[in-house]
Amino acid sequence: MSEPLEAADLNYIVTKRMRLNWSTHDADLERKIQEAKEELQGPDRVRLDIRFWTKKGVPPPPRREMMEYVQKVADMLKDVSNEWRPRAIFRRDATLFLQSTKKPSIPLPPEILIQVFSAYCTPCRHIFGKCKHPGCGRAVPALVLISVCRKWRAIARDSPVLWTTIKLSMRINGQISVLRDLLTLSKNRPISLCIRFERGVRWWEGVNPAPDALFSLIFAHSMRWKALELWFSENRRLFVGYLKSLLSRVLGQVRGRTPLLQKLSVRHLRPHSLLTILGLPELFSGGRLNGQWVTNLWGVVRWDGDLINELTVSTTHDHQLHLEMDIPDLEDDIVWVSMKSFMELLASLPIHTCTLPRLTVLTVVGGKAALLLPFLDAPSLHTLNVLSDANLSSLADFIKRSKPQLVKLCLKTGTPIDITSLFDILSTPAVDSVTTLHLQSCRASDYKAWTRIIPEMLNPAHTSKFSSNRGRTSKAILPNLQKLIYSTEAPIMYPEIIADMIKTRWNYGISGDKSQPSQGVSSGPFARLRTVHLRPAPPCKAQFHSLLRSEISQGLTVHYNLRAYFSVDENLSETASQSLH
Amino acid sequence: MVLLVTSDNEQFNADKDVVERSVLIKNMLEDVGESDQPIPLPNVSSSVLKKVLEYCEHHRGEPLPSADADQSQDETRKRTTDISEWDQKFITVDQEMLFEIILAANYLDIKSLLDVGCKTVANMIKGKTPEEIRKLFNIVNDFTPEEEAQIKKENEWAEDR
Repeated sequence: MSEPLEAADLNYIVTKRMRLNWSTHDADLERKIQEAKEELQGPDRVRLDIRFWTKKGVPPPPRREMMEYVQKVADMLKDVSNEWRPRAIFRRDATLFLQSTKKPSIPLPPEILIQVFSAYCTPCRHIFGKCKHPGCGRAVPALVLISVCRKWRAIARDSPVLWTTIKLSMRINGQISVLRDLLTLSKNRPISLCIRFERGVRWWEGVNPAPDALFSLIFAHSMRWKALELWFSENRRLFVGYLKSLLSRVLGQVRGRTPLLQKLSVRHLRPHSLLTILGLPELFSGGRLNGQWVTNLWGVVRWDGDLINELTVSTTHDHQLHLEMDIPDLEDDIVWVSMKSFMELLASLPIHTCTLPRLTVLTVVGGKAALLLPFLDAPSLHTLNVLSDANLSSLADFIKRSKPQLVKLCLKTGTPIDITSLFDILSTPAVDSVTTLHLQSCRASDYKAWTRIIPEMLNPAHTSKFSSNRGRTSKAILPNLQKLIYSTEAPIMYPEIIADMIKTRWNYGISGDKSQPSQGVSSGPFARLRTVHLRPAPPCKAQFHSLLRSEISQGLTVHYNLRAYFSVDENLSETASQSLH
Repeated sequence: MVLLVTSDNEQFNADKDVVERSVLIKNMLEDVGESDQPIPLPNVSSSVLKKVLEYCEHHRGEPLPSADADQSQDETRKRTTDISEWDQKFITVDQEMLFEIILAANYLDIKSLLDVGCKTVANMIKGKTPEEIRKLFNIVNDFTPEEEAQIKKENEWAEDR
């Protein structure tokens, strides 16, 4: 007798039944056995109960014959099944209990399934592109898991970690019970709630009691709030009135009862309305950030200021300012504000600099977004990506003011490069710690700057030329640079200048020990440049290769046109990856 | 060198620092001390152990997550679904082998390999409907009509952003 299946496996089992009478002819029996085999070998795990019965008016066979017949059938099926329960043999009939020997389709124990589920519920984060998995980032991913089968449902519902982020759309009235259930599943874990109020459901007019019940339920869990986001899609004036009273009620009821709250966000389709709403003094009563709309925009940022470790600022095609914040354990937060209003107010208000003490990664996308830089202070920054036609002098000011210890610096521009400001940035002490530099231009007409002047600037052998122009003491800029990603639309007119820069940084760079000065070419020690990614490839690669042959043989890596680095710009279509190795 | 014996009685010789990526084997070696005694692995077949050793060999020398590792570090590792290129290539195997590798990683206590396996299964599920998941893994829909109705109600409320 084989072991019955574990209870946990039962949800994979389909129970089927078959009847045979004691006088079934051999041909019929064979056909039935074939059918039974097909059931037992099918895609599902099957339990098959075969009942042997006596025809009406016919005496049953002797018990010994019955047992032999049952054994015969069991033997005929033993290669595809085993008996999970003792046979039941009575006076006139008998039952044989078989189950398929097929292994469960996912033979993973619950504790491993939980790990799979946790990974499944983890949102994929990609700054520059969508996740490759279609449908990834579902509102409540675990809802898919609990819709697969009973076993998965039981495991997922018993794992609070899968239910700590809840996003719901309020389209249907009276379904508070679903939210209550979801809140219960997260047990006592901190929760992030996003409730979206759809347009057209006239709940705010007091027709339906659902909003009050909904908010009472949400407020009841305020001690566990890590984030609360409220999305409103309704534009009617009546709604704005309701929203004002609702928001003041939110704050009134939960004041002092949100020990874990890191983010409170209210979003509305019309930024102007949003700003007006956020302008309510009761929302940011402590927000004396000089007053009006902008104050309250900063209020949103400031709310999280001590926790934010990533910030992306960009402008959308319709001139909205786009702030994307990454806060530990929280999903991205995005705030849209009218750029025009924002800039007008910035100009009129004595705004303080907003300090983000834990911000480590800052990405600025779009020229207007770069206008925020004068108002930011980020002393812990280690990665700065400026993907815009930013004013380089204000960028230099930002770096000088924040005094971060940058490790990665990425500058992408489509406007003529301001060489003086670029040198200013690259020679700032805060940039000395940079190990990875990514420079990219989309302008072919800037070929002289990109293929001659900048490579010379990066060449410690020529730094003095730039330094003396600026009245500075000569020292190698970017003394810790080990990886250079260099991309331009311009044809590489002076490959030998680029090669010379690479050779100098390789041959005279110090590997590891910076106590020994390098031999000669520069007045300061600098690290060895180990990896170079170039786009486009120089016109004569073989010749370029030969210029660097000795360095490459010693370990220098040079790649051309690597998609991983240059695909952000959709215009960059070259995909071939070539290495000189 | 350490001698490992699989469930199908095949023997594998491997470097100590390679096999010690398995906490189970590491502990066993510490218990046994200096000895030529083979280590039996009754829950791991030879074909799976071969893959596991390939993984351990590739990741030889990388720091092991210590038992008292910073929990937040562990959480960070788990929070991303990204899998390195080599690991992705390594784990591109048929479903049966994938599950066997996961089970072996769990048995041998190789956290990083277990992590790669679980993330791979998670990525297989991502973006799929429950029906597609059932098809993928041969899972039977065993919900009653009442349960189906409840599931439908739950899903009506949650929406994609």
